[in-house]
Amino acid sequence: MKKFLLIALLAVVAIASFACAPAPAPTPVPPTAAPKATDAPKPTVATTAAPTPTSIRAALTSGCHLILSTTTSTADSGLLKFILPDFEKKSNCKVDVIAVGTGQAMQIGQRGDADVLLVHDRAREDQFVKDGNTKERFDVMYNDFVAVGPKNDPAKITGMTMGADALKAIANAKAAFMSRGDGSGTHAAEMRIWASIGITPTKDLQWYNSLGQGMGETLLSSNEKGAYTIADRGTWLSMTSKLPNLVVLVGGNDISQNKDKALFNPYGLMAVNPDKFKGINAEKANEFVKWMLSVETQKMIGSFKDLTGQILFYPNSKEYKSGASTGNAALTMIGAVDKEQKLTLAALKGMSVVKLNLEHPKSGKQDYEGVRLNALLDLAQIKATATKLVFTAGDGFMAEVTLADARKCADCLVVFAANDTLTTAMPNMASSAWVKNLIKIEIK
Amino acid sequence: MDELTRGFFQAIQLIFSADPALYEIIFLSLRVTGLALLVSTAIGVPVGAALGLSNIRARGFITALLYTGMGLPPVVVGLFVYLMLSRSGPFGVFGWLFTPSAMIVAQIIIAFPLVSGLTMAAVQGVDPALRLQVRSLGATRAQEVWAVLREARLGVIAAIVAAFGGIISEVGAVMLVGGNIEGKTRVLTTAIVLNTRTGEFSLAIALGVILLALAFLANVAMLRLQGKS
Repeated sequence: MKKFLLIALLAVVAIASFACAPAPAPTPVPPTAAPKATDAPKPTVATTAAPTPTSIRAALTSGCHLILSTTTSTADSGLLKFILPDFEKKSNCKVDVIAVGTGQAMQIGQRGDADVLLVHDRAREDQFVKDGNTKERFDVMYNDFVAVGPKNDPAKITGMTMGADALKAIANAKAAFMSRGDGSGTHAAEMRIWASIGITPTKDLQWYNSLGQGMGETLLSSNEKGAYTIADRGTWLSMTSKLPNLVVLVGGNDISQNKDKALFNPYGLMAVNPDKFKGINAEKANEFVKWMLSVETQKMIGSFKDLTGQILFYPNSKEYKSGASTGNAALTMIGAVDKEQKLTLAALKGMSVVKLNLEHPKSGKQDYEGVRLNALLDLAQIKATATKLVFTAGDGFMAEVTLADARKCADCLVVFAANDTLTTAMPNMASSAWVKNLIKIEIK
Repeated sequence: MDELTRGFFQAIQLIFSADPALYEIIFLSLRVTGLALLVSTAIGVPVGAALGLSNIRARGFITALLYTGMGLPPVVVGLFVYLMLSRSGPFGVFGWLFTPSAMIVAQIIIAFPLVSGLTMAAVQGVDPALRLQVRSLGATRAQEVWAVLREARLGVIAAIVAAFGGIISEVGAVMLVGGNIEGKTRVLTTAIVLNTRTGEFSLAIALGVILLALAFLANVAMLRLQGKS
């Protein structure tokens, strides 16, 4: 009995002290909640003075938060975890990622519940701009869609290069097909291809399954049922190990082998229009957009690889493309040198390029193509006082090697890596000396 | 089957790994559900008792409403709370959407009908003679209500336990209004959905085992209270 009393008392005290806990304002308390003040003790909570909205906000949103509403592919693939820490450090603002289908992501943006959107459904993005929900849409990156299916390929689509041909064959063979069916960007792309061949998939078709689920679930069901589906390559690659029964049938092993423009998958970046909604973190949203489009971040996006070492996203911003074509400095060499160097990619490729088979301490032997590190050091004319080299990567990572070690290492290279980035290849040194996305060598 | 056994062992491993991210998720689950349960108990028990003891004419109708509320699909509650707390909604100024507060609000709405409805049933089950008896002994109105509640405590605690089970395992509403933000609104159930979505089945099972273990411990604690009082 005493215990019971104690609990009841504790409950009341706790509620009273949790001033920042939600006041039960939106709770639909039936009209009898306040009966003729006869029967039950009055509900204590209802009378607790509600704190002012601003004080609640201050208590709950300690520090800066930016809400990014995005598709599952960018979050589940690990890309955001890879690039966001850099922004959070630079802007001193935490990014809250809401990862949902593109349809829901845009709905969230349309209601002003997110500050910035990263989505992939061009038609709907253009509508979003037209409706004034954002001031501008930016190209940010792309990858592609692939048609995957069971290894025995009952619809015989292997070898086809066009998504439309493949879907037509699947429809003719009445082979099981799994559709996202959730209004996502991938679903929209699939529907565009169906429309292009004049087929309207309906629930009456035995072989067509509209799941209403995310990419991961759809791939898993296709794997179970031996069905075909259209998937974004990023999610497909990140889950391949869990999908033993499926293979890519149209779209090739990487984006360069994908010949179908309809399978091109561009991502758009939009800051939600702060004039339309109250409470949008416009300053940080714009900062975020600027950061995403910057050459540095774009290179980071291009250098992101999944666990199997595959590149999932390709940078596509205007800043990146113009930087790549006008030949911005790809590598700078500063410090204890007589001739500081600002080398463009073209300049590096114009030097004596070698191709060597070198052993990475973790991932083993591989072919690397690049310029010898010693040739670069000679070019910069290192001062006699110098003792060490500091490699800096685009994401701020730094590694140090002694000048003596570098000089001794004839096969150490600055390698041309994917997406026009540079990497150091340092045989017989720790893997930390193999710096990806190298942008600077400082001689000390 | 592999996933199940692996998931089970992974659960044990996880618990002892002292992984801060896991403890953060567990702590948030308990905080959100605990606060929601506290609030719904504090409102639901008095409301249920009042309904059980009064003889107002609309009681039948209200009872039907409460019992229907017990069957509310959490996703619908989530959507309702989402629209209320959205920046374009009436309570947007609070800035609660995609924070634990929104999740607590949603869970209160789910738990309230359970607590109040089952409390009402328990109070109605108390022998009416008890009220007459304590009244004849000179008890005040409040003392009388208290005596009835004490008598019905088994049912009242069962109501709280049922509500706890309902909201700690709920995923649809917290996913919608919380957003499953890592380190901020990710709880056990939404983490399970995420890991299922990405095909990490054994990790999903492991989190499920941890959720069950937590619910079991919480229920044992509440039942001990029930037995002692």
